Amino acid sequence: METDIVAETRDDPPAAAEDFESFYASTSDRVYRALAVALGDVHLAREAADEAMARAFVRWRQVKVVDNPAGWVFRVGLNWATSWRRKLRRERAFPETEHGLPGFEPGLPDGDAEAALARLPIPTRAVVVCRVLFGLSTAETAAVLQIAEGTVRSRLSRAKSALRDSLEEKP
Amino acid sequence: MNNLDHAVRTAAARVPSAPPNLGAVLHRARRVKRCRTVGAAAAAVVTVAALAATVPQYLPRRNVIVGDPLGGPSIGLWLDREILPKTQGLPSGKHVPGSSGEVGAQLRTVDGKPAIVVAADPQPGLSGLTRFGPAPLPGGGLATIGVSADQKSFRVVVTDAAGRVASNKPLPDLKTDVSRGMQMTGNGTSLFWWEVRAEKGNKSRPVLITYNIAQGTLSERTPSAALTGGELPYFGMQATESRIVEWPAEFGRTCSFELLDAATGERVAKFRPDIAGCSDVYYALSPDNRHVAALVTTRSGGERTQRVVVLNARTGKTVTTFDTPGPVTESLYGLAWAGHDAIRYARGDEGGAAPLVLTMKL
Repeated sequence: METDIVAETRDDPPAAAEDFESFYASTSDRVYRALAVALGDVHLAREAADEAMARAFVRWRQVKVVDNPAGWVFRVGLNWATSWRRKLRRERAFPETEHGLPGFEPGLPDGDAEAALARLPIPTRAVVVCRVLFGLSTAETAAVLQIAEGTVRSRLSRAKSALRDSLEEKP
Repeated sequence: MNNLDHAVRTAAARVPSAPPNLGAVLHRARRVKRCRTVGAAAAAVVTVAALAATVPQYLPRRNVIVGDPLGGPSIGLWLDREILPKTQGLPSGKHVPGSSGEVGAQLRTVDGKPAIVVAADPQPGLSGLTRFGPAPLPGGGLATIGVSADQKSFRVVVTDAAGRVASNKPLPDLKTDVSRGMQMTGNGTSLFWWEVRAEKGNKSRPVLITYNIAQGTLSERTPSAALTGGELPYFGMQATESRIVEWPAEFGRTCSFELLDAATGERVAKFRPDIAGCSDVYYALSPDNRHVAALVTTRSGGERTQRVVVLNARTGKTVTTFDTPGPVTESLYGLAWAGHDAIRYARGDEGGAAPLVLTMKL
């Protein structure tokens, strides 16, 4: 099955496909976890990671030469999940607790800092994830998420502040 | 940055593992490529409608995605009718898979991934002699009526979504002959099935039995517009809180369905929807009772295909149709509503490759 698909992908000769396989093996788990933290939903994160990886495979020749292919996959997955979620919300407001769409997986955050992280908006969490899990600089984070560097700085500052507040509130 | 760093890394570490699945990604890539090809062609000349006809098999739509992002409880999966079931029925011998409300397996999330989990046979506390079920319940549980493990009495066993026994009570005496082939269904509080009561003068009448799961009690309802033998739901029943959809063996076809009031057993509506070429159909009523999803299997030349037709429960008219990738080679399949306007569809094999799960949005 996989061989057939590789053969069908005329843009990408077998060597490139092998290239992708090694990229997938080394980054898929990190991208999935990053999406899970950013989105607060492991099921959606898995779908988003697979979708983004599939898109990366189809465009592998272009994707593999960008500065940060894993960051590219993360952003595509994040955008895909955000669109999917927005579509659902626009058409009908799903009961949030029933399907766990927004919010973290029940029981996931148990520390004050984690709970504070879970309360941050997704765009802020995305910035934090880029900085911490992908080890990107402000400029690199801005490039990956296609936002201004000032926006990265302000979201990061907001995240730090939220965490600081949550820890100060601790009795 | 230390607290933030620690919180993010801890949260990431706590995310359930997802074993890499390159095959699934490459499979999805095929669809992405198709979409791109289709998009380019559309931009060039053709209308969207004409385009749909040119794409073989499965044209992904924006409201159908591969995967289960909404999640939810287990989905009951029926065994294809052409495959011999493993469970023993009463009376013993062959029975049609899916009869008696029986599902062969469930789609569950195991280690964070969708997986086919075969329904335990026998169900906990029961022998292998089953009268009804195991039938799927809303919320992912199963209900089974069968002979107790010590083979001394009939018992009603209800398990929760995790397979734990939530209720195990004796079945009150029905004073009817044991019959397999009739259906059973249940909602959060009750189980429902039809029985045929013998009456004087060599006559009989069907009665709707309601079993209260919490109390372990039975009640009988005789609808004013009593069903006849040919209209009894030999092929399937599925209940919501207030309605039951059932599909009889009318004229040997299973494309008709009717809706009952779950409280009284009275027939609310009966339809013969315009579904072409179906040889067997499973219906699922949406929680708000507004739509009925029909999982239609079409068999042609030894090949099976499936589609999900969503019908208006008030008019019986088709609202929309979702195709699934074909042909169907799997032996287990099913669907369940996720809220009022999304459907989760799954199919797969016991011990086979990863199941296919689609989310369809009205």
